[in-house]
Amino acid sequence: MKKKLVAAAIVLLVLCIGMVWAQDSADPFAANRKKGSQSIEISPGGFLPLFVLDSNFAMISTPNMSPGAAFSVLYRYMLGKNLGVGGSIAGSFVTTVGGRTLFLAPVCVSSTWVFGTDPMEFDISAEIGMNVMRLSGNGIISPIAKLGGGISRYISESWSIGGKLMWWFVPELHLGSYANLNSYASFLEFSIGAQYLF
Amino acid sequence: MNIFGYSIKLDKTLATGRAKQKNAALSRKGSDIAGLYAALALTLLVLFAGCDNSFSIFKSISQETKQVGVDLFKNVTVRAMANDAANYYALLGQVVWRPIDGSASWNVLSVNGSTDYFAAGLASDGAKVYVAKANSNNVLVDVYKTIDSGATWTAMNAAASIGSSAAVDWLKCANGTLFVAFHASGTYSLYYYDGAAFKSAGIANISRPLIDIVWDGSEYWAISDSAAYHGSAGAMTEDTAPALAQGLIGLATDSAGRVLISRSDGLVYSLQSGAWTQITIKASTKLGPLFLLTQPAATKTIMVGKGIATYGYYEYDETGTGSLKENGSNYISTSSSVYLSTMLSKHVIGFWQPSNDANILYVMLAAGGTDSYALYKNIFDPTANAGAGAWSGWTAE
Repeated sequence: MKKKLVAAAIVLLVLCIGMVWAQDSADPFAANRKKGSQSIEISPGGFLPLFVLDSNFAMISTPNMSPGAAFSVLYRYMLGKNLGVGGSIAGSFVTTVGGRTLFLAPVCVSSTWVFGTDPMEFDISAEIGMNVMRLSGNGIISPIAKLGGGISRYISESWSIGGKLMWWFVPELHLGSYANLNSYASFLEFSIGAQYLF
Repeated sequence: MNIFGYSIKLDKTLATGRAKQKNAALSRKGSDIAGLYAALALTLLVLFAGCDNSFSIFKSISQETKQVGVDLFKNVTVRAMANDAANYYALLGQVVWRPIDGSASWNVLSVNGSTDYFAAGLASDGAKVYVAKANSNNVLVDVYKTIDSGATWTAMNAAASIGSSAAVDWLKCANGTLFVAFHASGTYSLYYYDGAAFKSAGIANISRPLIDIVWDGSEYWAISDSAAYHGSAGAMTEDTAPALAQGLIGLATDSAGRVLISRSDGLVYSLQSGAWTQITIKASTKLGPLFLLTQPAATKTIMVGKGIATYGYYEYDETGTGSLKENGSNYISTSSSVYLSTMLSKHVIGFWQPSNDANILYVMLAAGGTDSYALYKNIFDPTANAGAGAWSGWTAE
């Protein structure tokens, strides 16, 4: 009988603690997944060149690029529980076998599908925009598309940390008689990030 | 009622005030938006202005070749080159050498039994090699000569003629004669070796530094950075035609009567059959050292270093009305990718060809701080391009 009372007291205590905990800390996952929720994410990471296609969509056997680094800032506005829209700016670079450095600086609009269960959050996002590239004093502005996903964990009501993978598709388009110079490159951005939610 | 009347009046006043504030806010907002659009348009204009539709970034990268040179040439300046029948020589702070047949790599040349020296000058006539040694204050120690590829050396007792406080600026062989440019007490002079002693070439104690000397087939031509001189070895006199105060930079010849001088105003002065003509390489643009490329024989190409911050070089095709090629685009000496990954941001010190092989071309560069190489070689293949010939492109030495 005494043991049952002690057990009941422990269960009650746990339940009480749980209720107090629940009152003191609202579920950040639910709190940040509603219309009007906003977030800013900062993600530094690495940048891998994958492959380059020429104007005939044949793979260029020697892309001649080495891994580099990337940095991105993403703003997101939730339209509902799962869907968010926003924009991103990023900067990245890779080095070449000839000792040059290729810089890419895309500005994109984004849409994100968010899902998961507290405290983990998953997202799949797609971005399109314009990309400024510079190589040894020469510049190109091209369209860009990004596709990827990430995983993050809430560490407080306002902050979550995580990582993401983004595939960058970078078509380099030339006009008129220079259309034969068209090429299509792809890169993989892998990064860790911190997200502030408000 | 009065209260209501006052209230209504107050409401009207407030409403009018709010409307004015709203209009002002709208006006400000409109002004802000217009400013934003203007900034955006300006940004896009700057970005698009920096775009080159004819330049392919990824194609350019894919054409690159990895350049792996000798560490001796990394982050240094190659100031001169020379050759004899067996070896190539390059002047850094010391002289380095390698066999022409490639049987060994570059190494420091022992001069008069020592590899611990500072070399102020290097020259050769294709058989004899000359090295000017200097002390830690850059004052001439002596000029040494070898006729057996460095096995034995002969001191030429240059200080006795030139002076014990002279600092050698460069050595050069032209038409088989050794010339020594030096400065002492703030003035510049040019001496030559007559087989027994060093004597004045006729240019003595001038106020501006000497740049180069060539043999045009009948007389010598030398330039300071302000004036041109010509004549026989001991009696050179000034030619005022191409003169430009502190504006002469490069000198070249075809050794068949033609002389070229590059200037800081973008002009190349060309002397042929006794008459000077001007070639505008790039108007109002500082040029650099010159070289007349003789291959392929069907083209007439002047290679001229850039004196501007991007450095590298131009190729000027004299065929027809003349056309300028830059940044490697349509170069006959290399491809755009190779040019951009080897020459860009490096100051061209000069071009050099061995005395015994017109199908080899070297470019000497100032590569300090670039973490890259200072000496590149280009080989002409006469059988390539359906017999028209083609240069291989630059490869790090």
